[in-house]
Amino acid sequence: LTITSLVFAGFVAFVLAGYYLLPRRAQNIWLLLASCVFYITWSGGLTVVLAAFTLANYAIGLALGRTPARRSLLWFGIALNIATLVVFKYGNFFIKQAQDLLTPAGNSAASGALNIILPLGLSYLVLQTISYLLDVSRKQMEPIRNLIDFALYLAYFPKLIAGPIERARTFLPILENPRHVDDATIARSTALILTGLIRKLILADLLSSLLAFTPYVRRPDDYSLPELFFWLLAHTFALYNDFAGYTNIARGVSGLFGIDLSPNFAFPLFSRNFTEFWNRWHISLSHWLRDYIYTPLSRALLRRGYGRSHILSFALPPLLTMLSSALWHYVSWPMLIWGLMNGVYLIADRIPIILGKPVVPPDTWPLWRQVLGAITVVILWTLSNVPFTTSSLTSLEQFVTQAFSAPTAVWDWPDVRIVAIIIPSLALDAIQARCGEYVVLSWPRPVRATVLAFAVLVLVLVTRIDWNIPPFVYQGF
Amino acid sequence: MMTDERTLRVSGSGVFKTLALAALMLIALSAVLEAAARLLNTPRSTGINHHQFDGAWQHLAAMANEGKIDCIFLGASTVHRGFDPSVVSQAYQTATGEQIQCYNFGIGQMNVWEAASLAEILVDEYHPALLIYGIGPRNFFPDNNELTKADWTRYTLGKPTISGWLIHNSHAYSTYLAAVRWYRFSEADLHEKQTRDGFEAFNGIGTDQDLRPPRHIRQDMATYAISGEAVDAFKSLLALQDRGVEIVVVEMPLPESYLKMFSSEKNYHKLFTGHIQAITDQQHVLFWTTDTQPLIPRRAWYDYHHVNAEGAALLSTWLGDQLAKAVLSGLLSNPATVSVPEAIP
Repeated sequence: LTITSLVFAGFVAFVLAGYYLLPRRAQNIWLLLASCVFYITWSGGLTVVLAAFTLANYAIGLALGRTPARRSLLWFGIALNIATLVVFKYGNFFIKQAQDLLTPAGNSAASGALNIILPLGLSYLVLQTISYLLDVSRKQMEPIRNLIDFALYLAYFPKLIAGPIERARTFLPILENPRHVDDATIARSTALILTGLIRKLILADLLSSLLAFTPYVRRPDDYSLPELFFWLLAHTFALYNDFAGYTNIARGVSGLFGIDLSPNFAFPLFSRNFTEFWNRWHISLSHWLRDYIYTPLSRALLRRGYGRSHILSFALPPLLTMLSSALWHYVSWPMLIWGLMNGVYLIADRIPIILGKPVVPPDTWPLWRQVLGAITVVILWTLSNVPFTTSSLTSLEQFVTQAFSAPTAVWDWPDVRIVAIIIPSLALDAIQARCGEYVVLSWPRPVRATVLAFAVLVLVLVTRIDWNIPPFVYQGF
Repeated sequence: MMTDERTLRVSGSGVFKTLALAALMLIALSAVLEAAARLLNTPRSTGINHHQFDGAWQHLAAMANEGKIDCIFLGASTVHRGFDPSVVSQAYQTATGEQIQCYNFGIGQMNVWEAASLAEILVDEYHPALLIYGIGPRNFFPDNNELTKADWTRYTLGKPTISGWLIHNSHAYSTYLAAVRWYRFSEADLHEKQTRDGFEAFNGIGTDQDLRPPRHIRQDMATYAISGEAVDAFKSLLALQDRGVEIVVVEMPLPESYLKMFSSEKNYHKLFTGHIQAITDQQHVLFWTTDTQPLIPRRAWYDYHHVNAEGAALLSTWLGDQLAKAVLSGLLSNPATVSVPEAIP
């Protein structure tokens, strides 16, 4: 049930029909059933893992609400969640490392003997359950006593496979209260779904189809440096539109049920420094990392007497936060380099603190500095995605060496096909950033209808072609 | 007091008005785009996911506009790079005094299923007197089958689809497919330097490394066998002779390094040419094998299965001579003088 497929549209229509007809008390059960069906279509037998995971966290949450010795139970809960992630997500990496160590050179007979399959969406679920256990333990919310509501919080199908990562304390009240869907909700949801489809099926997929047949990672010396950078830039825009498109569709679909999901992107490629970038890119993850790693770590360091300008307070929280983010994505040496690079970018934002100057928010910068800042962010972020696209340290090293060792390729203009997609992507962001996410709804009806007709026409035409591209990048986590 | 528990509270009128207007706009927009495409006579495409196909099809159409097509060479890149229609025609004319007009419709990786579909379309559309099908062992693997699956092909062969209908009847839709083609393939792919009769030579002499088949080919050939489905497709192509076209199957030459994959030349003949010979004999179709050693010297190879420009000249001269001999001995009719009837619907 890929969320851009017609089958998924039919599934949503069926679930919506039942949902609107049922009384409120039965709606959550109906949504949970639909979510289970949705998950089974993706992960089949692994639904049992999801069920066990849900029950375990439900029980720990309840116990945390009443046990006096909460601290050890909390750590047990967190350890259990991390252990689940380590086994299912990182198991293959550790097995391979162990095999490489134990197997004599040149003998690869044992490799691939065991392959652990990751239950879809587990990385998102683990973050949600950890935040839930922490919030209950900190008395920021009561434990959820209704098992249906708790299971639905985790398994709610629009956000199940790629987020947004919702917090129980904000999501639960929506599940516990009546939901209403009116004309305005439907209009907003439709706008979100259409924007999401345009981002995913047109902007992301067209760039991905080019990237799939361009060996710029394997043979960088075939390209001049500017060409290479444009291909990397294409990857940045493909990744952005792919994930932002998914989030828009998920939010739009959820909106039809009267359930608002958090926005995950706020035009990140217009960010003027990396602190701002991480408040605009994959926001639900960034904020999770901020609330449960960055801020507690910073406070702990301050409590131990390390002042704000001390090297530890200054560098450790951003570095550890971004390394955690890297590990959350997947375990590989290039990914750790990605985390390190982004940690360093965040540290660079804090240089004024060391110099004893105040950190000035970007909104107050002069225009030239804002533009320069935005360009710098896009360039540095694009460069940090080089490790994201390479699978091993060897291929990363090969890429960097070949790219910079006097490339044989002559300078050429960037491929016009990349530019043809990047410009509309930037234009869409610029319009939405300036006039709001639902700007189209404020236009007169004939204009709205024309935009809708054009969007439908383009989407129908694009989906007629088999572009041979992989599904959403972030749904594999 | 009763509370309204309904989730859905839609008045509907606003939403439906917008949807109705959007539907009208969609129709109007489609009409405007169609009119504009026709007025501007924009480039069109068949939508087949192969960088060479549209070019080959359009070149053939242009050539047919200038005069009758006597023969068509069909096959994969070995044919595209191996048979030069002008050289074949020259050799044929030298031997017979007659001139023939040939077109090379070789496109990369065309397998026997694709060749069978395309041959049927070409015979129905252009009524050539002679179809020369160049084959090699790899043409009998299923691979992509892009051409067979394509809406254009299916529709042209009489299997109606909406897309197929649109490709044939909507100028705007086929222009959109031309834009997709531009987007899909690099400039270098789209602008190959082929002659107007479809041929394109490889320049340069292959090194020993170039002549060594890559690993995936070696793996394919290790357990080589022609499947029953491939034989059926091959037979359906040969059956086109019932429509008045004469068919000749030609074994494309291969270097020693390629034949070694079959452990021995004898084994190659047993698994490939012997099998093909049996089928062509059964269907009463001429099958010409090429004795590589004297025909293509080492310097005339470009890589492990393509000849270079010198090899193409040698091969094309050989083909022209073979054709002339066959016509003079009465095995084939003279393509220049044969009149092929229109296909019976």
